[in-house]
Amino acid sequence: MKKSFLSLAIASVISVGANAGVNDLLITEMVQKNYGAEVGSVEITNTHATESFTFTNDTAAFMWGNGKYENQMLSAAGEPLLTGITVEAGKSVVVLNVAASDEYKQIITDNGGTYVIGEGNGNYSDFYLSGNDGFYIKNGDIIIDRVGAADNTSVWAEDTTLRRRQDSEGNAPAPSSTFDASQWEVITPLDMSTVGTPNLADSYEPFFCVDLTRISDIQGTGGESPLKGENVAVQGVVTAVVDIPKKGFYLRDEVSDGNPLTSDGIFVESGSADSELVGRTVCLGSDVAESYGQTQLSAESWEVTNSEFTPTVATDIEILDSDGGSFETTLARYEGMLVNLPEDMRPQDEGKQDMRVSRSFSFNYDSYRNNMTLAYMRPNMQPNQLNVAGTPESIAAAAQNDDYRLVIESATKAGNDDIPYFPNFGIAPQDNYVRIDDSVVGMEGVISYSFGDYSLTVTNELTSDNFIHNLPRTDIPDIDETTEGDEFAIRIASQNLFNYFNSPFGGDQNQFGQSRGADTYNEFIQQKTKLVEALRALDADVVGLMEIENNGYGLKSAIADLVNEVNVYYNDEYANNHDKPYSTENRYVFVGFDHNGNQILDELDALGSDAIATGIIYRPSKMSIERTRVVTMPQQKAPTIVNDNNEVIKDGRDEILESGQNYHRDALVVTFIVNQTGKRLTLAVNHFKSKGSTCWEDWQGVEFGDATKWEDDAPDLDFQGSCSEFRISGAVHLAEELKSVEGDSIILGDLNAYAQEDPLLVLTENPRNKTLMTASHTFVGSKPQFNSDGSPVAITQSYGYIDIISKVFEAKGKTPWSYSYNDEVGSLDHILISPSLENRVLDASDWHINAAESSLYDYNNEYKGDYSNEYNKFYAEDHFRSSDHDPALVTLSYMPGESDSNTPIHLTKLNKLVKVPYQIPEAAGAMAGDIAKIKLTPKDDEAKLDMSQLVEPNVVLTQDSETLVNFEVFGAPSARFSAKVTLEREGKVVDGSTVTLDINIASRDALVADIKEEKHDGSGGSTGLISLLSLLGLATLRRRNRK
Amino acid sequence: MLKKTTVAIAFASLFCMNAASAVSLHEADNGDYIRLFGEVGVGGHFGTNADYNHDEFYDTKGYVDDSFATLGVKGQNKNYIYRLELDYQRRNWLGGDGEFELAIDKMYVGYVFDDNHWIELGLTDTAFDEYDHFGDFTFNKSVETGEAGDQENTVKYEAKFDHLVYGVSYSYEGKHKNGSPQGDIVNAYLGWKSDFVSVVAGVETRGGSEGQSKYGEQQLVGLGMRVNVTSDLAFGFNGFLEDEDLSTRKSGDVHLAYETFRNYGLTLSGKYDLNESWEIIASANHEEYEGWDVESPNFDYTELPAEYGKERRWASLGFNYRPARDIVLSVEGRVGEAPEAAYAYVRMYF
Repeated sequence: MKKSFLSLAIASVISVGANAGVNDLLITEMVQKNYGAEVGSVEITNTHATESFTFTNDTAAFMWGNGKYENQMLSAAGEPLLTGITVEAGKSVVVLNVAASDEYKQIITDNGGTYVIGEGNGNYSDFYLSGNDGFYIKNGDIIIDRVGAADNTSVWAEDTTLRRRQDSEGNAPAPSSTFDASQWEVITPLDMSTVGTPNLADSYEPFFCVDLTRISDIQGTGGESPLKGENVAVQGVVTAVVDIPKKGFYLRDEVSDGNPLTSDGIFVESGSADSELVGRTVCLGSDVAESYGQTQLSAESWEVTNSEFTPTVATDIEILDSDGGSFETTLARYEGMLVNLPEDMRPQDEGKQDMRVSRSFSFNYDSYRNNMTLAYMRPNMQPNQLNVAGTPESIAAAAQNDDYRLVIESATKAGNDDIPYFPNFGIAPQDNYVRIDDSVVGMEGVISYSFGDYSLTVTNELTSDNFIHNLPRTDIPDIDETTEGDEFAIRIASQNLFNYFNSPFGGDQNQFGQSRGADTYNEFIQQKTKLVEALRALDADVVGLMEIENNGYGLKSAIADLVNEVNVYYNDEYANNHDKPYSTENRYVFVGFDHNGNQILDELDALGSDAIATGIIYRPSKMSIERTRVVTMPQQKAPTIVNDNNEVIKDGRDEILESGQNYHRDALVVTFIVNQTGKRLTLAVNHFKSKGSTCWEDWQGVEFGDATKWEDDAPDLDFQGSCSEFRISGAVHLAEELKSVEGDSIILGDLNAYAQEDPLLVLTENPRNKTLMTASHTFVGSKPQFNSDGSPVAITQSYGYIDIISKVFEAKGKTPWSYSYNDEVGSLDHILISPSLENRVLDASDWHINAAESSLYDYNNEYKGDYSNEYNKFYAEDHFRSSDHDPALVTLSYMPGESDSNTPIHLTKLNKLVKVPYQIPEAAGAMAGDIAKIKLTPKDDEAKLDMSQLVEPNVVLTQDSETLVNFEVFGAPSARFSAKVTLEREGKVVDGSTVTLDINIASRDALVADIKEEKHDGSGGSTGLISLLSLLGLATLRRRNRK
Repeated sequence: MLKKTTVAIAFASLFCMNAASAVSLHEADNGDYIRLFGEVGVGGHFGTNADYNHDEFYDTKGYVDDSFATLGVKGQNKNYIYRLELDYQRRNWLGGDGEFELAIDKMYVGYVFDDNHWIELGLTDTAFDEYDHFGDFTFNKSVETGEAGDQENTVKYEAKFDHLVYGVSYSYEGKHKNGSPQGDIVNAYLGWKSDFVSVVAGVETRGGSEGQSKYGEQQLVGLGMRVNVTSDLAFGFNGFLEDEDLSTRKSGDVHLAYETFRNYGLTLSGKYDLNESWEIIASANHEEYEGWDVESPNFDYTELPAEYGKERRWASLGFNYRPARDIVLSVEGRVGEAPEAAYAYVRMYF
């Protein structure tokens, strides 16, 4: 439609009256943009022919904030914004946002207008249009003129200019206290070129329901409408009236054209529709528009041609061969239609191709409202979970995720605590949960498209029957620890504690002055309860913990607080119940690190430079500490990011964009001896630098020019997020430090990298020989990690660890994941085992108690529907959503009596008893009735051990071919012994049965954390004249033990 | 680490059997004797430099006094010899306090087989200690060879012929000068001397402390050489190469994770006798310790790297003035990465 450029001056010749009054004021133009307050503006024109108008306090400007709040516009001084402003006859004044650009102001003054900045003085009195706001002029209590409907809270002006139309006679229309959309020409994307000019658009042309066009013809078979830009008359049945994604209604052809390639429905953008309209047949006229890729109409008035209710049967979405495997193509065929999500969208294929929850109900920062995301066939897997980051496969996986995505909206805006189409969710959340990977069946709604994504706005009411849990909630992890024969299992887990801070609630202060955890005591108890439930349910023998307050290892540390609470449950001291869930045998102790070396575990032993740290807890009944250490991880000390003028660049929140200083959490490395064996097991618990904030590398190649403020995100072409190089540096350092570890080792924890991302390629294997560059300027303490000049290095070797969960899952045809971000899931929490452990693995798994769940179920009370943040109906005393990461587990099998070379079997006493395991050699051919005997000899003659109570029992074999005998030796003092074990038959020693065991009898590690002093490691030399002289005789200097 | 002051080569002769100066308390016709000997020296180091101080000085300041006194008695009775020597010295080393202390430096008995062979038992120099500065003409210390020095529980055998010298010692449960155990120590030297050129090579190895101190196993070779170009002009070379195992961490009192550090150093020096009383001495020095190298795998990253990097180089020029026998006045200036700017000392001995 052509715009009219008739000047108001001409139009107003017809207007009557000598003195300009409030009724001469007319809102003539409005510019509004979602997330674009700086362009938001309202043009007010004095339509009087000759007289100027001066605002007084009686005539004031108001914003209709978010479509529901009346906010009076004030000046910075707190006066009504327009008071004192004079508008000359036929001229306009424009209200602008405080961030309006100089260019925009120039346009206005060039157009002959004036402007006023709506600065406000707090309390929502500033002028701030952001897509969902209205504006009006009030004289006293009476609204003179307004733009934006009084009942429209949607983002109705996404990127829009509204220009007032002339009346039917070509004059300036009378001001109106109600918003009649037909009085406004809608221009989108917005146009600011005539703001300041008192111009009006052509008058509204009334519509006649003739020359009807079918919706299917408007939609056509392609993406864009073949009728784009044309004015059409359409008659159809209203299938839905919605506020979201845009306010309006959906119309379908009265009779389908039967062509599955064309949609029979279309969206009509309208602020005037209400739910009464559903089922009625209406006829309307509109231009055919393409709005961000969606073919749509718009209308504020229509002719109801049949007010009887005509039902619409939702069409099952069906995948056609012609869609070519593109789910977006499928959805495009249904754009504007009322559809149903069936149990199987492609019956001709095996299995059920349904829609899966890919992001549970939560706040969506893209659309800034609560909603949910589904994906075709499976939850969207982060592209680098199964594909090497940066490869075409990874990029294809990302494209598939985009293709498979379907955003689920409610017709009206969902609150924080309810899903409008699933009322039971808000009424009884524990029985009506929605989890990632649930199949959604029987959900009906209308399909729309915007900003690259298809949405379905739900029209029917759902129950829990519509959400089929493919991964239902479980109370114990699904992990096998069935061992063979005499072997026993050790269970190892990794658990994120979701910022467990106890310092505000009586715990020790951390040295960083931060608290990232619970805000109130009530929340703290809720958080603790959930974590304790989760830790008990994990039932692991050792657990690596992440995100615990870094307040040391004193009695009031966060880790002590948590362990004490976990242990309360284990209270049965009877020896005959040692294998029962309540047994004290299950108690944990945390590993303390005397980080400051003062021989006391206290709050001053905080690690590293972050307010959170990692931790380890274990069961002394199962393992004993041999060595604890803190591996200081590399930090980046790179140059700060500056612009061309060497000015430090800041981000949108006025913080330094990238300081160049970046950190990992220090790694805790603990070497255990598995009790009853001489097997070492070293655990390295990690929490690598996150993907969220950037590192120096992320900004290389970005041209900043002379910008001092930079609001764009750093480029992330391979989906690894920020700091991938820095995580490589961390992985290399950790692996190098672990090289000197004797025995088996496990790297576990939150590596902040998905399974096929660079740090994992370093630690496991790099089958594609991807070039892996470390970060620059990394230091371990004051020592350059690689080169003194800070230059990075290419990592050409991998360290051969095995990503055991991925490997076990691959064999089971499953994919592991432990974290949900946006609508993708993947594993950030890993268990990487040294190859020497692989044969011991019984099972490995993650346990979807957290990532799969909506964050509504966490301990927090905020945003749970209660504005006082006191009542949280989603909270339950269970382990679900105890954190945001899922725990990871592995189970290993050990044989009593096995040991590393030159390592004694570590036997711990309980009530002065130790069990000495005797693996009867096969050659001895054990028979029932044989008598196994044991004789202990102390290794150190000088120790003068008190052996007075020693009982060395004989054990009579009860069956043939027994392989293991446990001697219950009583009263052996803690010391190293040589234990000679034999089998006697008829009074004679059986040939081949004699074994001499090197055993170390010791008390169990205490249930109070203690500092473990290590024994001499043999590297400090050995005295002895002969060996010394032989060394001297070598003449040449020794080979050096360089790493 | 105790840096023994002023064990200059000139002074080394004092330890030998044919002492140049001493107060004879008793002389017998058969050669038996009792002699009193000693020294008083006053002086020290000027302008010590924090940037280049490895472990030389307890403090860096304008003047670090290094005054020193020795008093000893020694004797021979038939083939048996003995010696007792007390030192009064400053605790100037890094970590010390600069105060005086009195220490028994030597306490041994020995047996002389003949003019060419003898043994010593007790607290004495280890063999290599006698030649660790051979070829270094400077009166002040230059590059320090980290041999065992004096040790208790030592048995030493030495031999000296016209041109050939050799010796070997064994020390049971040796200790660093700071008292830390180092394990058994064996060291030896072998030299050939002539009027024109003299060469002495030394080796040492130690067994390590087995976790009791930071000192693990060690092996050391050293070489000293002097060339007398004319009767007035001499050049010298002294160098060492050492692989020393040091612990890189501790658990409680137990030292662990010993790693090998390679260290080496060398000194080139020259001496010119201006006349009977005046000598002019110059040196050029280089030393390199792996522990200083920030890029070495075992650099202690809890410390900041040394200002001088992984190596120190410096040169010196000094004068010795001998107004009379048994009196030496020394002045030396240094340039480069030296821990001090100058050294001045007056020493008298008897």
